[in-house]
Order: sequence, then structure tokens, then C-alpha cells
Amino acid sequence: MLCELTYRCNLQCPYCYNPLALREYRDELSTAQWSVALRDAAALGIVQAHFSGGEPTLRHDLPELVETAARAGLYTNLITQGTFLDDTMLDELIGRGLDHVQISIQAPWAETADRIAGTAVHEKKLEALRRVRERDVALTLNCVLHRQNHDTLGELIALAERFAITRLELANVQFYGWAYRNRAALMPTLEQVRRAEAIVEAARERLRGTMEIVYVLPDYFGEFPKPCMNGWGNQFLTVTPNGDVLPCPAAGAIRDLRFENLRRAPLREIWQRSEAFERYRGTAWMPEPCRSCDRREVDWGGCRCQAFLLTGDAGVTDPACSLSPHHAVVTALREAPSPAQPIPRRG
Amino acid sequence: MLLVPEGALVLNSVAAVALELVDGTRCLDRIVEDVVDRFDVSTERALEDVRALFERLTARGFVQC
Repeated sequence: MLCELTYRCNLQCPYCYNPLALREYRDELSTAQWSVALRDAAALGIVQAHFSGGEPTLRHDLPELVETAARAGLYTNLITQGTFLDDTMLDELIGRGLDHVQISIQAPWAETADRIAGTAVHEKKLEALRRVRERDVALTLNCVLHRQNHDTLGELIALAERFAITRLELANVQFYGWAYRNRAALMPTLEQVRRAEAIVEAARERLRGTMEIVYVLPDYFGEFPKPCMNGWGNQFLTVTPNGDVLPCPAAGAIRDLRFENLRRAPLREIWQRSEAFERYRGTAWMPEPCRSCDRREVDWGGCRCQAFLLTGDAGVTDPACSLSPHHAVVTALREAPSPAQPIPRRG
Repeated sequence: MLLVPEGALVLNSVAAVALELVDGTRCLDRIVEDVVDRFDVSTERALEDVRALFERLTARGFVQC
């Protein structure tokens, strides 16, 4: 379960997947409402709670929610940009049962990183990394890759080595929310993608057993689409700051889907019966070419949100699939990146 | 079930016991002995399986040696 506690954030990354209409989410769930959701999630069979946002440490009740989740038996993960992670907060979170911290950086050095984040935070993030490394809690270092920082990949891996990071996630930008709006400026070039594959492969070989490198493939460059959420309504759900329950963090973009809200219905009922979860669950909804495809339970039709954003219909095969009748939309986007400047996310 | 960052490994009963026996002091042979005591399995087979299990877990950083 991804708990998007708030969409507030002091950074302005242009690749943020948060929705453009951030104002609609200001009426955030209370501590009590989140606590009920976390306990219900554990009872439903969910095993992990990811606290994210926006920036989740802006919620003063974060330690309390971590404790509630941990006591319910959930593995707790904090997904943060790290700028507020001082000694006191970190000790409190770990004391309350936090299992894992994921800190994101924007680039290996301050000049580029601060330009991407829209504010001078790189050094603070490195301090947070050091603090987490000193403590008994699992850590992942994350960096979202896009055209503006793709060429720093080798230096990113070197930075992770300097900090003795054991799990590094290099995630190519996924085109939702602000990132979709900014995709012309963020789309990596084919040359960047090819070069990155070689660098990652060599680093994995060299660092085997000391650092796990998770490389999230770029959205528009593969032969087959990503198996989004491992199937719609299959093993993943997102709760937005105002309590909407989504099958995928980007599903808010699908305009003709109506989402149930935790203020009106309990989690179990939403998961099991709501129209938004039922519509694309399993394989019965699939059109051709998915319906008769051997990969239908491998790719699950790809991403519904991407299908909607690129074709206006969330019920078609993800155009990222080379077998999709709409695949030309993706190849056109991939091959003709325009040099537009990104528009920062605005909170 | 072993919960890890963004994932979960479902362990069979032998693997779960073997992992629980890891305490920073027991060596591989001791763990295998305990597994043989508790399950209907030969020492040879247990050694092979437990070693393969820990190779996979250390490769992913879940167990350190």
C-alpha cells in the first residue's frame, strides 16, 4: 500500500508524478483516518506500507503512523527526499519501527541536482544519507533518470559506492502528472538509454554481492510494456492525501474512472468491490492484441494510465507495446524529443 | 514470509527455520545440524539446500557473512 500522506513538498522537480491539480488534495486525511486504513490494510493481507507524498516528513504525525503500521505487522518504508531528516526525526522514526528509508537525489553533484530540484538541497540530502547509514535501518538511494541527468549515471553509481549504499535504484522517469506535461524536456535520447544499459550492466557485475542496482527501464523504449502494478487491483493500492483509493498512483489521470474514498467506505470494500478496481482486474477486460497474447498475464496489458494518456481510452493495449495498434504514438514521441525547457512542479 | 524493500520472499518451512537460526554466531554446519534434527532430510541434502538458500540470500544482501 502506497500512502501518499500529503502532496506538499519543498522541492519542485519537473518529473514529479503527482497530479497537476495539487490544490484538490489539500483536505488531507486525519491521523485517525490513516490509522484505520493501515490496520484495515494489514487485515486485508497487505504486507508493506510505503509512506510517500509529496514529502511525507511534512506530516507531523508520521512517527505515529509508522508505529501504527509496524504494530499491525506491516513492513514500513519511508520514501523521502531527505531534507528534513535530522537526527531527532530519524531516531524517533526508527524507534517507532521504521524498517526502510528511501532517499532520492537528483544528480551526483549540487549544481545539477539543485537546478533540477529547483532549490539548494543536495548537500542536505547527502547529510541525511550519512545519518541513515550510521543507523540500523535498511536504505535505498534513488535517482530518477531523465534527459537532463542521464549522462551522470556513472558518477551516480560512484557516489553510491562512496556512501557504501547496498541498494541503488536508478529509475527512468515515468511519464505521469508533471512528468507527462514535461516529457519533451525529460525524454532521454536513444543514445543515452543504450549507454546507460552498458554502464548499469558493468556496474552490476563489478558490485555483485555489495550493491544491488535496481534499474527501472525507460517507458517508451522497450518492446513490451511494463507489467504495471503486476496487474490492476492485483497486489497494489494507493491512497491519496484526501483518501481516494487508486489501483495505481497515476490512475487519477483516467478521467472517466470514479474513485471511492476512505471517508465514505472502508478499504476492504473498496478493494474488493469498487468499480475502479473491478474494471481492469484480471484479463477479461482485455481487447486484442492482449486477449489472445501469451504475455497477457506477464504484462497485464501494460499500463492503463499510459493507455489513457496516449490514446484517450484506458481500456486499450498500452501503446508502449510494440504489438499495440497505437504504437506509432510512442515511437513518434521517442524519436522526436523537442528541446523544450521543463516546467517545474508547483505546490 | 521475508519482507524486503519493495518485495517479499515466500519461504518454505525449511528455509524459514534455517533463516531463523541465523544469529551471527552459528556456522553453516550448526544450522544444517539443526535442520536435520527438525526435518526428515539427509545431512547431504540439507547442506546442499541450505547452502543454496544462503547463496541466494547473500547475493541479494539479505544475509551478510
